[in-house]
Amino acid sequence: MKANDLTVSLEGIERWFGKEAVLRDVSLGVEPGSVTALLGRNGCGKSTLLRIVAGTLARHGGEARVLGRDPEQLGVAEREELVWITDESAISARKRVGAELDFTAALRGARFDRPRATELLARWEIPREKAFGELSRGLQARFRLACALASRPRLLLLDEPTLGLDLFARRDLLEVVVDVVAELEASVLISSHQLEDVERIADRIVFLHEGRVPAAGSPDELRDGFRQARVKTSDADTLNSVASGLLGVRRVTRDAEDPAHEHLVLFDDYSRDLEQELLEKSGAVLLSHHRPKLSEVYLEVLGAPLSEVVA
Amino acid sequence: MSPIDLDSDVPVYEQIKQQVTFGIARGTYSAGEKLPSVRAFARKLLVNPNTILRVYRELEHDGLVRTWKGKGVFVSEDAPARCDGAGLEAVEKALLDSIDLARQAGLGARELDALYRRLRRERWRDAAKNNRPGDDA
Repeated sequence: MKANDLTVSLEGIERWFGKEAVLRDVSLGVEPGSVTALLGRNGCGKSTLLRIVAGTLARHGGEARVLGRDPEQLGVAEREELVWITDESAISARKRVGAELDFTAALRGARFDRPRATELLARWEIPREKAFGELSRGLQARFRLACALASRPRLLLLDEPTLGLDLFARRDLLEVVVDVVAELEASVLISSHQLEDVERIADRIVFLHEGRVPAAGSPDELRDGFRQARVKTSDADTLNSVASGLLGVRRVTRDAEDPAHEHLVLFDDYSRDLEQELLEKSGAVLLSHHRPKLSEVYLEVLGAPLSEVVA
Repeated sequence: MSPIDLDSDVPVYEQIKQQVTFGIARGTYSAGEKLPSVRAFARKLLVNPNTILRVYRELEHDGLVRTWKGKGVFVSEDAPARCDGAGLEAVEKALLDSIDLARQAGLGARELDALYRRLRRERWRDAAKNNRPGDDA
């Protein structure tokens, strides 16, 4: 898909804060009607990236297109189509829910679906006469979601939307994401710690680590790509040298149970052909396979090696 | 409909596809019946709508459903007959996998048979307790 057809297209994004490079080289594309999730540890630059996409923070390098334009130069039309939900709420704690709803409706103009907003407020039992600050955290989150859905966005940015929410509020959030994609054919870019939620709703996962993207793909692509094979050979040196020459093999470790003969081969771009080539060239015999869970891929990409987790 | 197992080796879309196939075989969805909309199905299972789209596309490719533009997705007339053996096939495969695993683990034939009988009795008892024979939708 060409950059112009993507809802969000980022190429080699850089951002510095003083002398610290928070984003060094981040590229990603969000297709229309799809959900892309940003996964990374605290402070890895997820919020910074979302702010750059939302157009509220300047980038220091790279190319960016959001809804067809440079995010630093979004016009009124694009701003109406973009909804950004972040915890650093712009909603005053003293403002009444009803007044905030009127304000959002005025801001969004003709796009705003008021009956939808009214219906969601009623379904989630959000009192209009209460001040925003009096609502529980879960209700505050739901109110933001109601406004977001009623705004009928083409692009929804969610920055850690599930932080501190209970299961029910998380479920409501996932339902809103489903609605945004299925009903409005909008795109969603979400940053989250909730691996399970991300695995359910993301078309594509983009890992962020030390300002770069160490891995990206659909949950299935990532789990298939990071397969682990247990192999048997008495010639560890050959296995290691063959493995180091193959693209897509990440690492070979000795199996703790039988270090003399059994080895764990961890791939980061697994294919049957690649595995076959490794076995033929090294003379090793395949014993078994492991298709990692997404949590294992997460730990591998962002820090702890997979073999320590599963072996 | 059974819930989704995210940690399973079977990809989510295949799990859903299998559940629909079994549903057709069992008569939960009969010939000519309309399947849930993509949105409704995605909301129910809390999965990405594109996952449901993929399931429906593959079922259509297999000839088990037909999509009528603007109306929805419907079970094909001959789908129930064609899904008939799907359950048995899947169970056979799962049993073969567990037999292979038992051999690798060094379990003998008798131990495996006893284990199978015990587990099956326990599951049946649990199912009866929860008043739902097998795992109905």
